[in-house]
Amino acid sequence: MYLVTTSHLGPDARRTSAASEALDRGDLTSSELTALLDAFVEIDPADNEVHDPHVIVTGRGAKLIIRTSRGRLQVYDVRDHAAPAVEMTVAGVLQRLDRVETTSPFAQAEELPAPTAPHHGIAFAMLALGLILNGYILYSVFYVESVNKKVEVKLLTDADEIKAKEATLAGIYATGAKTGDRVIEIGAAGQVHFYEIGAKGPINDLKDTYRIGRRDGLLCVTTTDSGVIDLVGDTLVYYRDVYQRRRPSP
Amino acid sequence: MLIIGILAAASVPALKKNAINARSSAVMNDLRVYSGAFQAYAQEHGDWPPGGAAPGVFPAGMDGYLSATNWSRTTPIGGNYQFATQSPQGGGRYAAVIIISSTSNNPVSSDFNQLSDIDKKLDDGNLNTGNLFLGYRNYPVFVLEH
Repeated sequence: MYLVTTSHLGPDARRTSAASEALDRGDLTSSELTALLDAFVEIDPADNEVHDPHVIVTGRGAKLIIRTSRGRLQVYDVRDHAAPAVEMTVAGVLQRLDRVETTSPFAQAEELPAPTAPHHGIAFAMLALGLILNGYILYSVFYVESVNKKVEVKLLTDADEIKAKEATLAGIYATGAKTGDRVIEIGAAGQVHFYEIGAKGPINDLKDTYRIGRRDGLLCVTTTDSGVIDLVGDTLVYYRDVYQRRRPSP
Repeated sequence: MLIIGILAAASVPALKKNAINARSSAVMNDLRVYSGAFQAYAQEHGDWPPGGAAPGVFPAGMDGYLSATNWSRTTPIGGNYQFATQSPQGGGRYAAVIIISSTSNNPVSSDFNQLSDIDKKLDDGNLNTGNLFLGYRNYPVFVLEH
């Protein structure tokens, strides 16, 4: 069934009627609509020009405005005002009215070519890559691998043990007693003194502080700025040189 | 802008390498000149000059062999040159060595790449062996006589 309204059309739809501006003809069957449209195309061209008669038909699939021109039907889609008129036969009009869109309203959008994505993603990726690369280069430039490696020392925590070890450790240790030999003086209160026996007295004189700890289970002295001194029996080992304890003169 | 930044940053390692190379060459040149001077002294006197001078202090008896100005200046890698005899270094004792020692406010570079580069140019490339190695407090030691 088709809901039909005519405008400026007489009852038989074959003539115009200035009086019947809009006439609701109710629901028509396809054959009734066919008869109406067949009559409508035969309308007098002069009257047609003056009164602009037209038929508005609502079907399952479309709502159309139909005009006539030179014996042909000019069909407009109500939902698409901008679209130009399409010339159709009566059968074509019926087909158009019955055609139900089965695709989802989103189908059109899905079928549309994807909008060209702005290149922000690529630009951002390039920027990030550039920054990472710059960071890596600068890090590698300013990172200095030192020959003075950090040594893991587990410091003693027992106050009594520390005091006892410091007392035992305190003393003067040396690689020898001639010019060029080196001396390490360990105090009982956490001070350590390094120097070399020079021609005219101590040279390369350096004072530091120390704490006692263990490295690989062995006792050692770790200093603030001078690295680690290993304790091996009654001797010290510092940068692979052995320092013997100097016995106090009798 | 980004590309310029990358190119600029990429050129920095090359500049750093050039700086390391230049310092290594300068140290190598110094050590060759100084070792030649000490050896000349030893040849003429039958023994090495006396050691026991502090870093940067002109070794006794080296007048006419060494430039006092050059000897006392800061080395290209920091610190000062020091001549020592019977010097305990790295578990051994060396008859004559030139040490690059840190002095107050003038530390020797501890840059592994810098020191390795000098060793590669002058010795065996290993900082623990050969005639150039790291001794007391990881100061570079150049052996004149074992």
